[in-house]
Amino acid sequence: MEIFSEVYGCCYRIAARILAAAPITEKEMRAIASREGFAETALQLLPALLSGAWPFLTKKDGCYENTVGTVPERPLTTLERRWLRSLLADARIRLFLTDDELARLEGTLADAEPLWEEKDIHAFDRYNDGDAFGDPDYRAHFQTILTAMKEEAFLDLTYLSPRSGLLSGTARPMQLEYSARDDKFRGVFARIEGGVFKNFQTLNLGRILSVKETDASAAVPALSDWLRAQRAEPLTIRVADERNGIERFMTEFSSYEKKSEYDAETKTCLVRLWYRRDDETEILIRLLSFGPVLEVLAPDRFRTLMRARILRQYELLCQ
Amino acid sequence: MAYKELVKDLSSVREYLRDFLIFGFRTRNDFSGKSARTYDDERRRIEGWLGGVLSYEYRAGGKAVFLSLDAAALPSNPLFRAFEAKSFTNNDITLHFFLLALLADGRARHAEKIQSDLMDAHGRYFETSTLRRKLAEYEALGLLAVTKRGTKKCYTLAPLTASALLSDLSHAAALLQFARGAMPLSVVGHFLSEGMPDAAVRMKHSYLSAVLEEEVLLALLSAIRGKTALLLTQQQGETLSVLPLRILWSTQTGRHYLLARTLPKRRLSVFRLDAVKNAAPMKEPPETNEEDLSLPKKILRPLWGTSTVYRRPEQLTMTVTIDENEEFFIVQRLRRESRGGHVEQLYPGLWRFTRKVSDAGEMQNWIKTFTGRIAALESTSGRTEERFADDIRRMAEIYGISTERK
Repeated sequence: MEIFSEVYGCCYRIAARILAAAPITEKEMRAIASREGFAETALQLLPALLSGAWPFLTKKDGCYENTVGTVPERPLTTLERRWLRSLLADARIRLFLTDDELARLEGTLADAEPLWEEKDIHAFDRYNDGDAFGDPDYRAHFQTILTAMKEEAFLDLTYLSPRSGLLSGTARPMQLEYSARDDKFRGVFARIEGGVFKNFQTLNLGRILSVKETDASAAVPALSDWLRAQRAEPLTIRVADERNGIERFMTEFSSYEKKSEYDAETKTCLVRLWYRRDDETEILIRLLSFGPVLEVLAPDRFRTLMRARILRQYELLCQ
Repeated sequence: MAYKELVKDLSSVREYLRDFLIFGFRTRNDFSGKSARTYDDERRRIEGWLGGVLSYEYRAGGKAVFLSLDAAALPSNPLFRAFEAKSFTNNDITLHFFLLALLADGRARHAEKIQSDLMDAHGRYFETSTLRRKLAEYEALGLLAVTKRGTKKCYTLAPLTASALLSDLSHAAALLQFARGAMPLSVVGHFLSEGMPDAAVRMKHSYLSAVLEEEVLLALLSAIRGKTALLLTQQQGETLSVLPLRILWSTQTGRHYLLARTLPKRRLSVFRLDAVKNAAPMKEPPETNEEDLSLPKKILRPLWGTSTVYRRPEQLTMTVTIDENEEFFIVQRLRRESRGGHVEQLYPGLWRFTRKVSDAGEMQNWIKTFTGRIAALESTSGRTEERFADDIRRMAEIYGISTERK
């Protein structure tokens, strides 16, 4: 079983598209190759098709006709079938499926052996208070939210906020976000009041108490603008190579947008890191976890936060 | 050799991809041991595959190439594209489409019949050995179903396609977008998602470079399921025989590790997957028994991370100050991050965390996330609190604190 195989490659996919679209002009072929291929795919693919090195087309009246015949959809490979089978045992995957859909998939994939079982992979630093994916209410809420997201529809929600208690309102789910570390789903919702957009809010799906479809509607601005506006001023951090600090830092923060520059003389790396304002406390404690291997240089506000914690700890140490 | 966009295997490119994503500050001059031409070809290839997600900056040493991405904002991992770049011959692609079209009628054919039908349909003769090799390859891939007619193997297309299986699911796009972000062997989810719309499912704390280890991960998972030994080749070249037992996964760094018994001594060891070049089946795997495959609780329970040590576990105690009225979320934090440790209130405002652990050194980073609250820290060996105190003093100097107190 191979993951790296030409049957999954973009050239095979593009060739299949071209054959399905035939009769087709050279310009149209080039457009497909440019859109779906790599930067130089058209340079390899088109000559092969047009020269007959790949004997699939014949030129007629300025167009190219398919000489292979109707090419059916490629069957699923064993790897793909076994991977899908492996998914079905996972409670999080079942959130996306109705009972009927799950039963049908389980039946169709019954003779595919799973590639892994849950016990084969141990997420040793995952938090232990993940969402209750197996809870029937959670699953029902999840599926209602998924449908509303797809249909761009609004929902009446009640939500238990740790700070504000019980809240209720009408909102449209815009985006779902999963964290492997927290083992939780969160949703970004567009809240409306009186048929008018109020704001975007992030809610933990595990704290949603009820979800109901509603006919409410309202115009909602683009989520991408709001997400971009959630970014805090970037941090400037100097990381030393001590204790393999640079590699550890870069690996742990590889999911963040950042720019880095290495100074061979001081053996330190200067990093600018962008993060979401909501994540500030998390970033702060993660940076503290690196100890003296790094120093936050800017902005002053964040450096002050770091300093305050270190000062408190230094005072506790001196007691 | 002329530049080619596609590659036979990903091993040469993997190092560059990981470097561009994780480090992003190395220039052409920094890739020692490789010719400038090799760097240029690999960079050109990666740029071609990944398109607009690569960024550049001109530095003193040259042009630095880096991937600077907010992974939580991405609909999909851009590194998946590397797995679409396998090279192939003209015969490979020709036979692929000829076979799909020929066998679409559902009739079972043996190799000689296929050979003659291809000749009739396309005027193209394929050597018997070439054809048999392709049929065997596609049988192994699962693209072809095989039945026997007497002694002859007869081939048809395997019956199941992605559309037949997935197209009438209410949330196929969302399911696959989640699975290709959160499940093992994520790139398979990418292959299956082709043509599906963005279902607005995103991943927080997502580590894009982990996909580069998925070929190795597949071999390891197969060996774990099959309870068989493997030959593990490290990046530095060393080859070991190992019996894979479990994959250890850090959700906080994205790293995968293999917990295995090295053979023949059967000693438990941990290997980082990004340090493994290759994992291949052994020609003559040794016999294994239930004891070899077992993971004793006395080894597992005290593990905090991935350090397997055979010395006696030590007790770690951390006492923290928490205002329960305003800061109960810190108590919740202690509990959810405890990894089996014990959390109790000593008296109002003071809480204690205790755990038996095989290597308290692994806890240093986590302990420091409570900087500012740690009233006391004790370990059986005494080393943990010494190191912690040392680190805090150094941090105080860095931030100009101890200077003030002089």
